[in-house]
Amino acid sequence: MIWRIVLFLWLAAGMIAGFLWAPVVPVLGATTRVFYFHFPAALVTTLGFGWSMVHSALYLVRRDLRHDDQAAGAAELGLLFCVVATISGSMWARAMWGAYWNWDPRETSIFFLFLIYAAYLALRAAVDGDERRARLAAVYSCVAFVAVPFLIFVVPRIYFSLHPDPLFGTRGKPDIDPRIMLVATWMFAGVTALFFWLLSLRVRLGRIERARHDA
Amino acid sequence: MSLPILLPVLAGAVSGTRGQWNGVPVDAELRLLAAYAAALLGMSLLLYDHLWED
Amino acid sequence: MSANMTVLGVSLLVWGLIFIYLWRLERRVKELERK
Repeated sequence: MIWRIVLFLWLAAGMIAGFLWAPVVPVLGATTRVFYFHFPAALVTTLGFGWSMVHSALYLVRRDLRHDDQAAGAAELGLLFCVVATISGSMWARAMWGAYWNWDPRETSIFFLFLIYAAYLALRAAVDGDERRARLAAVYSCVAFVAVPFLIFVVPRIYFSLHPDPLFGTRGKPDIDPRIMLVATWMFAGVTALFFWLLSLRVRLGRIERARHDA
Repeated sequence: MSLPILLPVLAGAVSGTRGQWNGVPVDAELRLLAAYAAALLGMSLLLYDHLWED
Repeated sequence: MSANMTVLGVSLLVWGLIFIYLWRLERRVKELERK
């Protein structure tokens, strides 16, 4: 259990550093700090959907339901972090652009992503039979993940957006204060660890439920 | 079910049409649509057998 | 400065509450797995 306490302290330290130590970006002012929550949440959303896709593919190859447990859990958590990213983003939008929602390309993309994976969960709820549900959900997850790089990386770059420029700008190097980058990376590492802890809990709970259901 | 996956296509098509209407170059939208179609086609070819097992 | 501290305080509090919830959930899951 010690690493969980480390995780608690890690994320607490990241938040404290973000608010008290790292500077603000001049254009963004105090709202810079939303970045330390928004950025990790958005990346972990992608990680979650990617993890789901990998385990979906593994399920299709090996037909082991443990992969389906991982895929379902990762998709649910990806959706949760998608909501966190959307809410933190819209709070930021309210502060910077005056409205919570502007149908900006990035805002629209993340909303599309939310719909895609909400449909994944709807599909799982609608199909009976563990193997059939796992197979159909795995196929959908693989197809759905095709949309992820387009929505997260391509669409926001080809349309004009009010959203702050990507960290890795056209010159290919991060043009952001190193202290901000350090805290953001620190928070990303912590939130990733949190994701895997939540996933472990979700998968284990799913297995316990299935064992009880079968018994 | 598949509507959310087709949303990028919808977005590209709508803005491409609007661009064409206004005489603005649309190569970015065309590349997006082509790349997305190719990616989806490739994935579908890989997954087809798994889908039609019943 | 004080608005900053308020938001930091709320964030830490929320994180603390989430952590306590997850800790207890972990213990419950371990208990159920042992059965």
